[in-house]
Amino acid sequence: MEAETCPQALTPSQSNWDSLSVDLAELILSLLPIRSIVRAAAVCKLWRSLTSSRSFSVRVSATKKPWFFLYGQNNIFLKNNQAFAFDPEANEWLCLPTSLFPSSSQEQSFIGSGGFFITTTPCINARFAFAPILTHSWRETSPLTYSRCNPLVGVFVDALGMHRFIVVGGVRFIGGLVDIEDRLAVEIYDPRLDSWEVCPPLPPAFRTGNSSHSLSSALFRGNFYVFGIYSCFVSAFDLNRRCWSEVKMIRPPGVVVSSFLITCRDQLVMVGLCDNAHGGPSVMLWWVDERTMEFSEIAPMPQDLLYRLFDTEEDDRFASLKCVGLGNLIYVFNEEHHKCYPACVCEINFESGKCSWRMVPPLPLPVNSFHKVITFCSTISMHDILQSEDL
Amino acid sequence: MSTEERRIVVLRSSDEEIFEVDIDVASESQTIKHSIEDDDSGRVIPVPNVDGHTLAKVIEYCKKHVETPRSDDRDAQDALRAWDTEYMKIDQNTLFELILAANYLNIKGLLDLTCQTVADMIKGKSPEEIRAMFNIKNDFTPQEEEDIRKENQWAFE
Repeated sequence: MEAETCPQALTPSQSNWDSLSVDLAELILSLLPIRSIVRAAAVCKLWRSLTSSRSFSVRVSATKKPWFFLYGQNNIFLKNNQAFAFDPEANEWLCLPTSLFPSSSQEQSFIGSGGFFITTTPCINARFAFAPILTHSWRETSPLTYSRCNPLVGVFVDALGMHRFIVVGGVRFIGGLVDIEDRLAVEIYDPRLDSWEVCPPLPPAFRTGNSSHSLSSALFRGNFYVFGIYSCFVSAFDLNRRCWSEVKMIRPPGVVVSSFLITCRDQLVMVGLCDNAHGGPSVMLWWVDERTMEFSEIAPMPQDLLYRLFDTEEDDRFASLKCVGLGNLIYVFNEEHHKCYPACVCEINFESGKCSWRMVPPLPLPVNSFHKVITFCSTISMHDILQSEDL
Repeated sequence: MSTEERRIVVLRSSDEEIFEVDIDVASESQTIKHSIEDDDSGRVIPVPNVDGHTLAKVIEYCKKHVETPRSDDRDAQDALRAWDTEYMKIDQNTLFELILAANYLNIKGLLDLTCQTVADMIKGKSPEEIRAMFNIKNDFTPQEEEDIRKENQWAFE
């Protein structure tokens, strides 16, 4: 398949690449998976300037599939934290060096969204810090008005093209106990003023579970949707009007143990983990109409693949299955350690409406055991990764 | 004997080689297609940027892809892909000449195929291996190289 013979009849100073225009060189490099692009940027100064240009970054962003990130937290031995990233295009996992993340503390909540890694620390200062994914450029914002553990965080681009953070829900501790009375306000960050705008909190229907443990969120068409994983309540926060929609319930037929709402390009998708008494467990996908909240079936996950995600006959085997997704990819994974966090990925073909499922390759060993596994999908900015002040 | 008139186009490469090609085959190139539409007099169409060796190779691709009917049949698609793979077993110089020719002649399928072939050569290789493969000079200082590696350590492991 490869035309890999050495260049013939070339003097030591010539390369076939010299004959290519910038446009052609950029085209070829944009076909590479992201890790290969970063290596290509280390070949020579010309390749570095080709791959770190804004036009290249824009060209690549349109075609690269979002990555799937898995961050494992060990609450006792913080040095056992690990982070991994899966590139669906290259079909390989990467171990992310811990130097990419700020030194963690036990209370720190970590999440990723919209091209950023984000940490919130609910100590007195209600610290909020962010960095473009895979860079070392961490910045701290002014403190949140309300400190909280495990909030939902979304990233959206406002009318002026600026990245804005929205923080929803989370849990506040008072004297070591969870404060159930206070509904924590939604806060939206303004980078120009370095300040947080306080907005109406999550509707009361979400009161019994408003941390990221029991909520799934999806940014879609100017709305930040919040969906109860177990309660099936859904409400949309209008990012322009700064208000919540009426709370509805999306509970499809079948015994749904948990469900998740995912933004797949220009469609909302719901993934439900069902435990049918006779049929056994199943995973189903539905399209959701964002205006009416009506849903229609897409396809179920193949049963044999589902069984590879867990192997016990325990009643609560489904409790450890979670789901995230972005673009045309949906990941279903097991957040229990004993099988080393197996995952499946579904690729949706929007033209045909067909889904193709496959196992994600296993995580590269060694994989520690974690108290908490945080997963999310996000796109990556080539431009941010290849930024360098000195070179 | 068919009464259908098969139209032939005459192409002349940069090194004066002449190729008589079926009009459908030649029209795989958007550049040549527009040239024919503008001037239907049947004169020779010069292809100044492409030498005879490369043009012959281009015509081989166009011929195969015009002859092969479009089909949803899995086997037919696999067969064409296998042909493309065999077709791409060429030396690096010819490969790059083909890229330039496909670009100049505006033949999308050939441009995609050749660019993907080069990308596949680069995929998964280290910077040193890439430089060796394409005879590219490393113009970074050792310090610059070290900084680059440290900046995105995860990509080099």
